[in-house]
Amino acid sequence: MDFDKLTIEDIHKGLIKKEFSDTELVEFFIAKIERTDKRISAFLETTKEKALEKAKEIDNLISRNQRISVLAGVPFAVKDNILIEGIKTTCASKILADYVAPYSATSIKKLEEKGAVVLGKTNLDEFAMGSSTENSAFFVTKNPCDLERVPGGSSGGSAAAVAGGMSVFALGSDTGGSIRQPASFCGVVGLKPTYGAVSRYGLVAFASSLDQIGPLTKTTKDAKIVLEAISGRDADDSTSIGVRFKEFGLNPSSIKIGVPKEYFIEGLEGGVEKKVREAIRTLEKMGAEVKEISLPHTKYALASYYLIATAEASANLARYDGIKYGFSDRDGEELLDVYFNSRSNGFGQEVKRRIMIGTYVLSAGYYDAYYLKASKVRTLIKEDFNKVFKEVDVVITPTTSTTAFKIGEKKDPLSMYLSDIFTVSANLAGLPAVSVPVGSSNNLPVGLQIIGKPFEESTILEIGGWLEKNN
Amino acid sequence: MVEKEKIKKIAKLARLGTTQEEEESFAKDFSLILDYFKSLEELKTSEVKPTFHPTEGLLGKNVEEEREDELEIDKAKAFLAAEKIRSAFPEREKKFLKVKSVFD
Repeated sequence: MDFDKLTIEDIHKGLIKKEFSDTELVEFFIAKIERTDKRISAFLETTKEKALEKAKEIDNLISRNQRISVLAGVPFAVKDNILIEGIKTTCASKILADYVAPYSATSIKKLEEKGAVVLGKTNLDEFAMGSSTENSAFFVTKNPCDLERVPGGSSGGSAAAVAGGMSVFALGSDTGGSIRQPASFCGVVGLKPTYGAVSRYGLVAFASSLDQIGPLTKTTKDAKIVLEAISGRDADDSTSIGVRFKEFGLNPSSIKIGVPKEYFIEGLEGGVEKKVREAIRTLEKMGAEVKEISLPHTKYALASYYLIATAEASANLARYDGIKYGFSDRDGEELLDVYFNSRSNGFGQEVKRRIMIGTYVLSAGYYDAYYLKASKVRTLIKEDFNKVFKEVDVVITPTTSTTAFKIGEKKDPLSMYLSDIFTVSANLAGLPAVSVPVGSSNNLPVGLQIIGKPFEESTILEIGGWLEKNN
Repeated sequence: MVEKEKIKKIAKLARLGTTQEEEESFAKDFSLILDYFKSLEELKTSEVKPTFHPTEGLLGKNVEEEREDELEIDKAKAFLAAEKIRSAFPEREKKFLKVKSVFD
């Protein structure tokens, strides 16, 4: 059986009807990873034994006709910056190469309580800093659609695991597009929830006012199932918020879609624009009202984002000092040497670059000109969205300006940063946004982004679902 | 171009040791990236309040109230993974984290 094509609900039905056992299912995915991942390199570590143990437990429950959750027995992969107790969490960095997580992230606890089965940890750009998964300290992950190309990043391993049929779904994290951009490059669904919808407890912090955990899935329905499982108020994350998401059931003719002219600019690949415009027309034909809108501060979003993200990163990554955990270089004479040597030899180039920029923009004399300025521009970007959301229900844009680029193609840091140009605004404004596949351009997947009002995940996922049926 | 002296100073503040080569490459990247950041200067923002947290003003009243309730009932609870955290120490003596001596 082709288990790799099944959605979460397909699996649930198959399990409770006893068409297959969870052990068979998990064994299938383990074998698939062993066979496929030699070429793709999505996984940093697999947790075969634990997964099979868990599958046995689920099979026992089923054989005793116990009620099981829709996620029970469903195998998933986890980006390696999310903690799972007793398993290494490396963040694809030398500085955490041997770090074993002492506790599990809230999102993991919630999925495990529902019986979902962890298959392993997936590759990423070191500390989630990058847009191609080339910045991993260990190896480069390849795009299952074209092995010469990047899967996107930073959740590239998670996107490749789902796209390559090696996992039913995966968790990623999104600070400036790190779920949506790889989802777009690999042709899967990737959701960044509203800031606060999912607890960040147990997610290794990169930029705390921007980071969110979210699912990468084959369908929007799957994304909703995972979101509902991992979201909610958590006492361990004071920024988390308990919200109940709506049921699906919208009428397309009641939906107003805004298409911001600032996203259809020079540099947008022709094939990407074509597919996105076609999808918008599909929604229009279904009865949705489509209107051109303006988000006038869009062109400032990327600069504002990188300023805020590097500033927050420089503070968050100060904790890796070689003293309490992680890589520790003790060769020097004094305590200060431990800090300098551990950090210099533990962090990769891009992480150092961002810590340096963040330190610079926060340093005396520059704070007002850079960090404060960026935070004020963040307000303007948020206000742009507040204004358009008085007129429209959702905003639709391309997820990325191009399809997946070649490994090694982007050499200077700024051109890599530019690949996040369409995704960072949702993080700055804290809004939910999903990338859904809408066909391909030159045989490479194209992603369409739907940005919603706060906590309107259900709306953007349902609209995304309409495009799946028409694909 | 950002001067190399400045790069050295920033590296020291960030507790990063840098090689000559890294200093040159960072100086080059810095100029490029900081120039890009300068595009924000086009915007007048003297009257704009900064946003430090994305959910400022985004939450409904009920959510805020719910939060205050939770803060009131906040109680200390036992953290059970302490030994696991200690076992990650690069160097330890019994229950204590060992560091290089600070005083001569």
